[in-house]
Amino acid sequence: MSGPWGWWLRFTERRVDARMLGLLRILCCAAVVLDLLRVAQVGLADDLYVLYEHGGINGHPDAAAWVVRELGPHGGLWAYGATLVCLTLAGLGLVTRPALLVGVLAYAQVGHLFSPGDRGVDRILRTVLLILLFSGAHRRFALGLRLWPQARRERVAAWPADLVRWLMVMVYLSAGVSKLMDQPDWLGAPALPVVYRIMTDPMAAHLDPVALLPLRPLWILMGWATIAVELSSPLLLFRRTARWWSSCALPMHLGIALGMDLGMFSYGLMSLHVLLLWPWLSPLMDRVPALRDGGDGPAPAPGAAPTAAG
Amino acid sequence: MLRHLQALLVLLAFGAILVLGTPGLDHQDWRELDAPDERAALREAAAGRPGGPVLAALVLATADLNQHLRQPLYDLLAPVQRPFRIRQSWHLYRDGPTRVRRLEISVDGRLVHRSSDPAYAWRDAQLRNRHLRPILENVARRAESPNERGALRWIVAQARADWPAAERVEIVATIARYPGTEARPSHGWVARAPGWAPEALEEP
Repeated sequence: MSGPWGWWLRFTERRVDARMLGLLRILCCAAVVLDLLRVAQVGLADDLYVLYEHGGINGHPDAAAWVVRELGPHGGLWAYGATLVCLTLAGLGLVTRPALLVGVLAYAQVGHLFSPGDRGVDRILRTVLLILLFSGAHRRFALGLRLWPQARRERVAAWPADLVRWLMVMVYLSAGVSKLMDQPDWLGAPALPVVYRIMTDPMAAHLDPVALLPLRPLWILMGWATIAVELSSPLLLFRRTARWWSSCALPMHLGIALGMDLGMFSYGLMSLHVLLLWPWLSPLMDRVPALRDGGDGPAPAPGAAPTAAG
Repeated sequence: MLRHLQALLVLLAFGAILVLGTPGLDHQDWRELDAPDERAALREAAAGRPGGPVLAALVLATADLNQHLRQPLYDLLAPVQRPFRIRQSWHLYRDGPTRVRRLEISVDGRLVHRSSDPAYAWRDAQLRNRHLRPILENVARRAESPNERGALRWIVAQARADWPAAERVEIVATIARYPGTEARPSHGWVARAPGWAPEALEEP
């Protein structure tokens, strides 16, 4: 078949190294689980996931937070616990698909219940986890492959990875376009550059605004660089340019991770870059036997036909 | 047949993500540039500039597409996002505060916490946790915010737990021009034993 539809058919039938999606699954689940465990570690779970009238902080849950209506005052804590358990299972690769589905629904309830603390990165990761639900991400690096006699897959359908990359373009491009359209200070050279104000905001960051003010030209350049990275994000759709684009975007996330207290914002987004850096990561993983071909149960029989699921 | 079905579903998924989160349009008002006088004003403003008329036509066409093509599709697809809380709207970065705001907490007159000040880092791990911080940002910004009651009650409870003999907890938001060396109180609250109900400070 030729023409656009034939091209699309071939595009959606492409296959990729299953380790790439397996690693993405593990990193995304780990980002969420560690972030939620941190809430428990600092003793905030009882305060965040219980409503104000029951002793918590938030008095304004979203209407979609049915978990409290149905399960009572501690429904939020149940949703929190279910998210932790399910995404841990999904990360480990045990009953991965059901765990992903229940985990994302429970994670959404946690967000509906405490909406002030549910940010863009949570929505991005939930979207990615939902996409992975339909992928072959559970075919590598999964404990389930060891526990149950099931052949691992070397290669799985590529379209879920393509869809995540498409989502990344939407995310970065929207951020860039909104800066141009609604936040003109980003593009200019104001006395107080936007990046400076963001990175030294005492409520969200821990850099010293007094000491760093003299670096004004650097802050202006960083603002321009941020916009350039975001507006060039369509480059991540192409195999040849994706890794180079990622190399430019990662320092931005690293800077945010080091200078600000945004929790998993940077780590969550950086975990998606596995898809872009795969041409560099793959040879590194090939050098480690356990990551190359071991640890996942029986290898597929030579010539085994791939299934629709990968 | 199955391969065609899979290709179609994947195409729909790509399209859904594009429609729900179209860059530049995902946070625009559906009715933007809908009124004739708004459209006329835009054309008029653009008329005297080089390339202005073309740009104005482009902006108006985009607004029309947004309203007449994207909105019906969006309305069809949007409910799918709700149970998963995956609204595809991605203007993630802010343009930064225009003033330096901090939150200060004192127990019996002794300063124990000041935002981003390692010398006064009481309960920093909680107060700067990414889930709680947005609420405290609002508390620092305005005298009345949606979750001010819950946040103040939580702070007072933590202070009483750490200093059981305390008689007064004061929470004050400060504001300063950048770089923030000359801060002044903007609003605040005080909670006193034995009732501990936070009251607004008259002169913070």
